[in-house]
Amino acid sequence: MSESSGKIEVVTESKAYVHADGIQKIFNPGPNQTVALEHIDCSVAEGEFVSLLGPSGCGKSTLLMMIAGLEHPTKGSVSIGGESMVKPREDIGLMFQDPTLLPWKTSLENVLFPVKILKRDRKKYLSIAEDLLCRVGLDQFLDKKPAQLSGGMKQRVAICRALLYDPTLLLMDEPFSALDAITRDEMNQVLMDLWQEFKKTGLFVTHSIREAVFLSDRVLVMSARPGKIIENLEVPFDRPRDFSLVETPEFNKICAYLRGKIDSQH
Amino acid sequence: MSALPNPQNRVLTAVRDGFLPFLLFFTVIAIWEFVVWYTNYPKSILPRPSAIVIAIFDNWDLLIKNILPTASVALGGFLLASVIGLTLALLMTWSTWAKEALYPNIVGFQIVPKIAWAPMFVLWLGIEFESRLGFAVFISIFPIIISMTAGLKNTDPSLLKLCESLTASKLQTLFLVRFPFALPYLISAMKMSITMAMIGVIVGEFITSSQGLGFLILVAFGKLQTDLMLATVLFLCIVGLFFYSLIAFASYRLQIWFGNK
Repeated sequence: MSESSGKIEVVTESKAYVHADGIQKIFNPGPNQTVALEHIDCSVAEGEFVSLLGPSGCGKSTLLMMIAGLEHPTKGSVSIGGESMVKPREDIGLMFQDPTLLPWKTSLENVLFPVKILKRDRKKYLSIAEDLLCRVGLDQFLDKKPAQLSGGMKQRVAICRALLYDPTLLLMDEPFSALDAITRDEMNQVLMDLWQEFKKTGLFVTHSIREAVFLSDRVLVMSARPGKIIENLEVPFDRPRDFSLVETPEFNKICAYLRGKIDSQH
Repeated sequence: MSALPNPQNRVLTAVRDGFLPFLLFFTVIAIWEFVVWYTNYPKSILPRPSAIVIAIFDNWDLLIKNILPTASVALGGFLLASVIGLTLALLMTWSTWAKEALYPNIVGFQIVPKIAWAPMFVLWLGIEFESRLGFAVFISIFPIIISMTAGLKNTDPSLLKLCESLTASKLQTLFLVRFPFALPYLISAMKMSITMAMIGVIVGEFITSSQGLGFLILVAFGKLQTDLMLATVLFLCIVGLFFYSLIAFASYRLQIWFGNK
């Protein structure tokens, strides 16, 4: 365990699905500029779940938004599936810290919102949406509006919406950080189970070490401003994982190691 | 821990919230009635409340006849202001060029005391209802534009990112997300706007008119029929309250649509 944790493994470019190359991001260029990200090189292989772990303000969300095509790097480039990423793509699912649901739409209509935007065949996706909502345990809540759902339920709806198009890549920006600790654990298990079934490529931004280790195949640790990747750790646990994993000494050893890495930056 | 509400407290709370406003209102009316009666104050300056009630019955037909000219122009002005104001707000949200050109002018104009423009509308649109309608639109459109522009801008940024990631067009984002999100802003602007439209029509009727409740106030003023003047004001209050409650109902429906009720 201790040997593998120190080793930095880099996914070779050939099997990388997401590839960020020499990313630099500067906000407000000029005398008062902020260097948010510097020398970021990272990749995610197809079917791999990777977490970006770091303190607040380290630019991990900015990096995620660049991969989503919603921000442009000052230097460097992002490519997905070999294609250079310059604008948003349909085959990427996105989740935010807030559920970002439309309050006047029911759970089902919220999941179907992308169909409306992209003007697709609603009938075809209706059963997919219903199926997804049932899978996350919301079968009784299809026609409820967000105000009638708990925080965890709202994020379940948001997951379903992100998965509706069967995206190849799912990008998640601290999706569970606004939830209470118990609900958060529950949501981690929900995501874990969905992953088992759908086998997507995933990039997950978080500042929770436990969450990162539980969910991921690999954890990238970022330092605070300017954001750099300071650790690349393979998580050795087999899937499917169960929440009892977090009680094991191996799990906690990895968490402690990552904690040390983050603390060494202060 | 706070004390649990006991039945006695609940009764007291109900009395306080439901009954107290009426109690204050009728106390003031009673004092008014008594003081005017006791001091034998001139009726032409301050009539007793009971005299106002009598004036309502004496002039019933006259009052009823004059509601429609005022109410219809006020409602028409308000609806036109809502449609035009909303369109301008949507335009300014959709196009930065439109916003940069229009918004500073609108805000600047908003500061001008708008009542001062009333005679101009008579010159431009004549002495018939058109000038009062025009002035009602003019005076009631600003809350709609300003509040809606703010509302359309205040959409949750994450939701806008979601739209962007779904490759939504600007128009789709505007009509499917920004606009419904801004509806509560529209409702609260409408509450202000309908009141302004009423003011606009009454001022218009003061300047030139041969009908309407504002006109009736001037007629009664000319004859020193103060009881009729106050009766007319009371009718204006009732018309205003009716419009306000229509919008309050719309607001309630909106709350339901948003899943809050």
